[in-house]
Amino acid sequence: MYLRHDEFTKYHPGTNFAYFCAVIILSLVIFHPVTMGISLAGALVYAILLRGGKSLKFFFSMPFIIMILTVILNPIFVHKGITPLFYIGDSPVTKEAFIYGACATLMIGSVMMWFYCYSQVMTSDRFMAVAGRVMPKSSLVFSMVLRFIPRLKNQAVKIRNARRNAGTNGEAVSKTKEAAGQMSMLTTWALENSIETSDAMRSRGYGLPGRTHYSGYKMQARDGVFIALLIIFAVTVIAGKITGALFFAAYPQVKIGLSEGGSGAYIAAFALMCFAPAVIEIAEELRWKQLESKI
Amino acid sequence: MDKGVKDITKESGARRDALLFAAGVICSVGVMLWAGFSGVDRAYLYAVILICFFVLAPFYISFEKGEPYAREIVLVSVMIALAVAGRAAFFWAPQFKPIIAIVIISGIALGARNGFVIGSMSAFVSNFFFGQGPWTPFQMVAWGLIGFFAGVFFSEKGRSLLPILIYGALSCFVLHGAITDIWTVLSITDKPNLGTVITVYSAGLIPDLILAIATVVFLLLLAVPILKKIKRVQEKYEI
Repeated sequence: MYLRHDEFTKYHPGTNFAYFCAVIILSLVIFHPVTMGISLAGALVYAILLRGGKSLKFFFSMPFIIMILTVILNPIFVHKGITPLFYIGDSPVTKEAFIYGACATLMIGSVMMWFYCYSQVMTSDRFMAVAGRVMPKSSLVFSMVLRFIPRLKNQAVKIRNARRNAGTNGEAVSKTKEAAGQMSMLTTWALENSIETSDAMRSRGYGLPGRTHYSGYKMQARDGVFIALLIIFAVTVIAGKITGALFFAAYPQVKIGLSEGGSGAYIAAFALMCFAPAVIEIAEELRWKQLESKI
Repeated sequence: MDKGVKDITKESGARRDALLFAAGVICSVGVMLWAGFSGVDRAYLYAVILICFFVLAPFYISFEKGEPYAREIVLVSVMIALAVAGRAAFFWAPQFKPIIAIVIISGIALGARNGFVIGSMSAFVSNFFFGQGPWTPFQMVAWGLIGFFAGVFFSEKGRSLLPILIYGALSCFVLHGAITDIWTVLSITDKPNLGTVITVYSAGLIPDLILAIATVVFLLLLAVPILKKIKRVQEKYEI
């Protein structure tokens, strides 16, 4: 598979991880229609940057359906709010419930799309590089599982072929039984083989103190700059929430923003955060063009 | 010599584990009370996300701090790999997968805490193939608890298959179905709402039913032989 590596993916995995955590948590916490919209737009732009049309196919296959359901379900089941639009039976369908549903839908869509981007960027090896230091034992298990899976799959194919040649081609009814039998054989093989692995580990001194952790990734200056900016933006956005500039409530009446000063600066900080990977990509593209033109 | 997998919880770690789990429970209850009484907008959604981490943390800290026995780690890894490979191998029928059955068997054979680690890690790793999403932490908790309770309720000695089968079927609805979808229920409306609960859960009923049938069928076919095989390896290599 051809994987397009954007510029942000080339940053340190720790930086990527911190970024996704910040964006997803803030998207959940800052429940404000404008920031929700920006978050979804940012996630979609980055997803397209990462996977092109495939990401849109994903978006319309699942998140979009859940989003539509949310818009429909909230006003049907929640009758709070003071502006009835129409009545279903005796219960009013209110404008406020519609607006709340619209915000919730943006939140759900943005979080799902950020998770999609996260899946593309934080591949298993990059996740290991982050988790390896914090959770050495669990990430060792994680890496061993990743190694065992292809081995088990290979062995499963061998078992299946051997069984087929021996004449046990599963009929429709006994297909499950045959599959379970093969699963059981696979277990025997896996358990016996894994003991070898653990003996090798023990003889190489696993469990002794002073184990080190190898990671091929190095923190660079740009990672420091990025994380510093990330913290500044995140603190700004949280300050906006606390001061009430990013306040939003749908019930009983739609109310946006409590403070006098307006919310432009806070929204700008959040927008910069959400579009950071795209900005980095464009900046890199421009630099490349500029260098190219010099040749 | 490698000591037994189950000795670990009995020894010095037992006190630390008890403290950890007590802290997890207290934090979870505290967060739930906060959600119930604070009146903060969408407090329940934040509460369940926090509780997710309060459930996962004690298990993983306990697993990290436990003695690093190579054979325990390898056995845990193999069972996770079997569960995940099982999820990938049975692609001819969506949802008809042995993964929950393997998690339950692992919990019975390797103990409650390892059962939790195997279940939650199976969810996490298999989502690298099937896609991570906001459901990942909830699925980790759900499958982790399936493995955990399997280890709590059933011991290897004196087992009869029927209670395990009933547990397998129930856990697909009560633990897997209910916990994995909870984020959807709480994202749609600001407060838990009976209408959304019924709508979301009834949408998941058919897949959960197929999963439950698969779990029962695979438990019926696999529980006895695989438990015997793990037991044999444990005895042969003094794990």
